[in-house]
Amino acid sequence: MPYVFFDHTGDIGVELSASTAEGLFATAALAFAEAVSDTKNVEPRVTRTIRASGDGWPDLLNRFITELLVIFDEDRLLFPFVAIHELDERSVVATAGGERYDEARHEGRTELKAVTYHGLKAEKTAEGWRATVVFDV
Amino acid sequence: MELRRVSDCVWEIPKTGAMRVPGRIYADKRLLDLAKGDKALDQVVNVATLPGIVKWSLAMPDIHWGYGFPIGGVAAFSLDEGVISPGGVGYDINCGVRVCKTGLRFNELEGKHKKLVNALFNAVPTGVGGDSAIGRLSREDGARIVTTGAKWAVENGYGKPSDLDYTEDGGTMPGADPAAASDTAFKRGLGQVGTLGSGNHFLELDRVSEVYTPEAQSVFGLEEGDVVLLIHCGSRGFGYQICDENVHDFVKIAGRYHIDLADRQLACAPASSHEGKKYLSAMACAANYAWVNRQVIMILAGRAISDCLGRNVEPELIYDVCHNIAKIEDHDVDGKMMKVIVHRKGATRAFPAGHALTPAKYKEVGQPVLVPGDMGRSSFLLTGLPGAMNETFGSTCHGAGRTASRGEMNRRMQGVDLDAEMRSMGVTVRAKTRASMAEEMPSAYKDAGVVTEVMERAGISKRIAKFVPFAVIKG
Repeated sequence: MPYVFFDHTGDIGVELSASTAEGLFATAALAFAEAVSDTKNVEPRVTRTIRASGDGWPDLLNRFITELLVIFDEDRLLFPFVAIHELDERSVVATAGGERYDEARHEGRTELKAVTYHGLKAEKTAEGWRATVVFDV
Repeated sequence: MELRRVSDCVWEIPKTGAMRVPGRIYADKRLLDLAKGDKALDQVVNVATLPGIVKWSLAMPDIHWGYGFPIGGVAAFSLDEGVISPGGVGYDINCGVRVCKTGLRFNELEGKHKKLVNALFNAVPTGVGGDSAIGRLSREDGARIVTTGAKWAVENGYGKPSDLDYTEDGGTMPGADPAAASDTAFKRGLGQVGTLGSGNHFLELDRVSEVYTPEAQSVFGLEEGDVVLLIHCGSRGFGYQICDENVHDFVKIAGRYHIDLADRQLACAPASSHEGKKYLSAMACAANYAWVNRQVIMILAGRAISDCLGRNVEPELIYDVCHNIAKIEDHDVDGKMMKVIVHRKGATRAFPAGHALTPAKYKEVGQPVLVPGDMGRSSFLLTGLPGAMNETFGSTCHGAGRTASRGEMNRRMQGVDLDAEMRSMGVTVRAKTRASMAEEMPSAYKDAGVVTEVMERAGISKRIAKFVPFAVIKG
């Protein structure tokens, strides 16, 4: 699995892995959507451009997922599918695909309050790209 | 880590290394052992390193591992020389609890628990994707909400003016400026007024199972067998966004103010700085939003109960407290009264009898505090004692405190009939998902009875009445 959830007392964390930085960010989007809801019935009916900037990989990853979280809170859009167009250590531009959350078709899981800086990591290792993210529940 | 026993229920972490003050933990031996099981005590130490902290970095007996600050943490910083930390308040700014009398008796509701739970669940949006029952508000209403707090709700048909008397700060935190909150915070929050959220938030009906003092009846009007309404929630996406943005900004500016952060979630800025003042103003906006939220939910719940029972039930607010907040207060520091910013992250204000900020009705008993337990066991109504002013900056515990993670609970509860398990405890529960119910089962928490007993033994707060849930809704 490119993402594995882990326990953190009242909250949840996720370990992400990918062979490229682009893959890591796309996996992060999927893991976020999966934390909020089962995504097996989510189809790419709507797309939106996601832009984020940050101070280095961990901060950038935090800001990128936060963008997705804010979109879900505002517009109830779940975006498990993400194509990364531009990415460096300070900014990311992506197209996100998904649809409006519908509790009749999507099994809601957890409302996430925020993407924290607690134990936040995102880096290139000898085995590929790895990240750790903890969500506040 | 060295721990010295100061008294029956107080343990001290001596000042070492970069600590500016010692740490102090309120716990009995068993709770202390639980606290040692995660990194919460390290977090008490980290908080003690922050600039301008006075007296102690404190932990209440419901302490557990949080981000930066421990949950159950209390720390006061000099207003002139100290810092303000968004992480020391938490993402859910003014998460809090209110308790209301209903005028109902437990024995008259026999056979109606399920009907009541369903009525409440349908009236109060919960969980993932829960849209406001009162509709998405305009930006103008949003600005008024965050400026005036619970007063907005009362002026718009949600409650009566006396509700404000029994809300901490009268339901309005001063200093709120909508310009300090971002457009994104408003966008997240405008569609969520009157929603419960998920996680550990709840709305429940409890019966008064025990009263401990004559004041329970004479001052609070509570008798065994009475039914009370409890509501636990906060400032929703509006507050989460304000915390998120300020933690992010404060991490960046820490260097400018020569602040060494042991953990990025401890991000802080001098309270006297532009950034510090802006956060305080935005935090006040979120505190006001949360009071509107709980006020609206109380009225929605009252209407649902009335419709369900076919008679008018008007919740009468006993008190509403915040347990994630920073407050500018006057406290005795080394024999001198000093203006400090008290951070209560998972801790509750508990002013004693006679304190100027306690409503007239409670002046002789002390400020009421509600400490919710888990959804199967007891919650407690307390009042502050003089010891709180001497030792904990007028603060006490806020809840039971988790002992098992959400994942652990999901694993433990596999194959368990959760409804049957709760029914065996006399509780009817309706939750948005099975997982959210499994994660909140009583065994995930410490016993609030033990936690509140510790604070009573320490002379910080005293128990007035015990409530036991019978009808619960969860996100």
